[in-house]
Amino acid sequence: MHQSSFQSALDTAGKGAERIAELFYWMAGGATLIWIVTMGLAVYAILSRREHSVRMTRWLVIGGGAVVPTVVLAGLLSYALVMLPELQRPAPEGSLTIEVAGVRWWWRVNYIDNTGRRIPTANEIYLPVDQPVEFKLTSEDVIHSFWIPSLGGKVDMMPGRTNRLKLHPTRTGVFSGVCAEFCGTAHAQMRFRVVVTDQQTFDDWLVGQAQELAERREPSANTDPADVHQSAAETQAAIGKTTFFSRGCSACHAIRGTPADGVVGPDLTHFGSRLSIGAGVLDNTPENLRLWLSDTHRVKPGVQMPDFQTLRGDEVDSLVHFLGALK
Amino acid sequence: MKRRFKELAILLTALGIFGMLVLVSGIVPIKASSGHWPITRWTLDFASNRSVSLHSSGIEVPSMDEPGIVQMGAATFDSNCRWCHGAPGFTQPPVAAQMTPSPPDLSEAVSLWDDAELFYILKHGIKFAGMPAWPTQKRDDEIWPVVAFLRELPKIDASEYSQLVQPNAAQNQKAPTAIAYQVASECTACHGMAGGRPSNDRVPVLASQSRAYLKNSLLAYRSGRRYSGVMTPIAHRLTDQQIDEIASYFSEQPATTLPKNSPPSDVQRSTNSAETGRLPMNDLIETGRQLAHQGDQSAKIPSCVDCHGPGKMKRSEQYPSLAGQPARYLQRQLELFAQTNRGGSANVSLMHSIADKLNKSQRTQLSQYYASLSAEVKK
Repeated sequence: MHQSSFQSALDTAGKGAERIAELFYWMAGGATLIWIVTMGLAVYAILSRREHSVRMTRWLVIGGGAVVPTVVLAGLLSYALVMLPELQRPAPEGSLTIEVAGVRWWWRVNYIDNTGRRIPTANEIYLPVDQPVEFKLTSEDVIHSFWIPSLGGKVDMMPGRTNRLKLHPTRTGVFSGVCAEFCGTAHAQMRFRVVVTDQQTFDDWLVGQAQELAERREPSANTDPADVHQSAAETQAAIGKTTFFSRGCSACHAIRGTPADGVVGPDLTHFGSRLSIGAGVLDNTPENLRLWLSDTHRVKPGVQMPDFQTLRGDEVDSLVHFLGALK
Repeated sequence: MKRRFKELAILLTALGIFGMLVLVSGIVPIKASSGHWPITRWTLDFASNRSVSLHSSGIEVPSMDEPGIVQMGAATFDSNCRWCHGAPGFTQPPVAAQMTPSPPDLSEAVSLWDDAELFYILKHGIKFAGMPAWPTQKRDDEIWPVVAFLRELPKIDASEYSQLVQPNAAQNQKAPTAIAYQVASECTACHGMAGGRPSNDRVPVLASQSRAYLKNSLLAYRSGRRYSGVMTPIAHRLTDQQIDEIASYFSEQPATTLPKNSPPSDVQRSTNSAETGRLPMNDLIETGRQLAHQGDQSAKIPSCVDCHGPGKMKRSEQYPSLAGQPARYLQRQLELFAQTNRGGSANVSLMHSIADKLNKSQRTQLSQYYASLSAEVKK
């Protein structure tokens, strides 16, 4: 899967971003033209020792000073205004709708499926390619701004208000999203990943996200014959689950299908399937997860998740296994 | 005119040199054995009285009309103050008596001060007089019970005093083990027999509390990481082994369930007080229950029960169980957390940001909810 090594509004992968990039190139071109003509005239004025007729200079001042800028700017303005209705138009009825709320300093994401049911996830957005998607954007605390530079324009997220945005990805890949409105200490680390896939992969992914934690992962006290073959990793994961609950992680985090129903922090039901940790701060690898759990505030200063300094090394290891297995 | 200045300058320089000679030569005796000259004594007393009077103005004296507050103050006095001031039935220890100035007999001296002045002296101590400041500057709430006790002190005789600080002396003699005896003689006055029924709502129930939490708390008190002018001096006298044994002892004691018809006294009182707002007690507890169990997404308050119970989920031993704790104690802890004035084990930072988000009525609701529960029975 192609992963953009940098985020750029000019590295386009969506219709909105394409139009905006186009507009940018035209404006940059127009500005360059005006600059060249202006500088040319300035240089000419300095070097030329010839006398000019009053009539001609008057034409130059009126033409170059008023007429040409008016025509060029009016042209660019009309060009931009023509783009607006399409960018503003809501996605057609029945399009995929995703609710995203900005929370200091992460993203609460809810997919709404055909039946109107909400499927929660966090800090990662999957999109099917070549389909319009309607976003409903709000904030749970301060003003944030939702921006996926490669896909389209940015839209502010305001507490107590829902703003909308339509995006229409045109090629698959992994893209970077950011908060584009300063919102406090960890603003620069309030990021997310956007994965654009083909329709089939997306559908499978959404079905997976809708599932609760499978019962077979429950640690069982009964000596089921299958348990004998439980691998070391599974044992670790079972211990990690106990640690998760005994340490109170469930006060903030939900894992659907278990008693963990916390709402203050990100839903972790399918944490293991995500690409990043801490709202796009680190790649989701066991080493990084270990670092995140043992030194949270050094990785992301200001983060609301408390530093669990008293977690022992073996507790962290078991949590890494348990969370990593939440595919 | 100019000559006058010159003469003055010479005089001042001479005085300065004389002063330096006195200082450097060491001719002035610093010994305590000879006491002060009457004039020195009077001047120092006068200056000290004026300073206490001035600086204590503006201190708001809270209501000290609550059950058990005098006993709590007495126990604190017995632990912190008796060593220099003596107490009813204990004459002043001879070593402290040889200080200059000698620590006063408080049965007589307290009448010279009003409550705010006593509080000020207890909190800040008195320079050059040997009166130490309170062991922490973050716990004003611990000082008022001592003020309440000092007010009563002139009326208290030796047997009353011993009844206050050793309420179960006769039973204590029969304690089955050394640690049970130590606990009975040192903890009972505040925490109640076997830590089951505190003498005052400011004090936590220890019986049946998690062993690891009790141990961590005592270690934190001893090292000064949990702030208390009451518990730090006590914990400081304990060895590692004693801390282990005391934690085990209390964790194994059965929790006393309060009879249904007598809720904790602070619950009764606050039913009528302004601090509960307009909500009747049952609604208050119900609101607290919801907050404790579900948290509050919009205010970013996590649920309490995931760490502190009640519930069947296995919880870390490092987190205290809160069911059945006195409401006043819980509310005070939440206030201290929010001000980062509580301190505690390495886990304390977990509570800072949470308590900071709770408002006053939420603190009341949560405290009343947990106080309304009976302590959880351990499996």
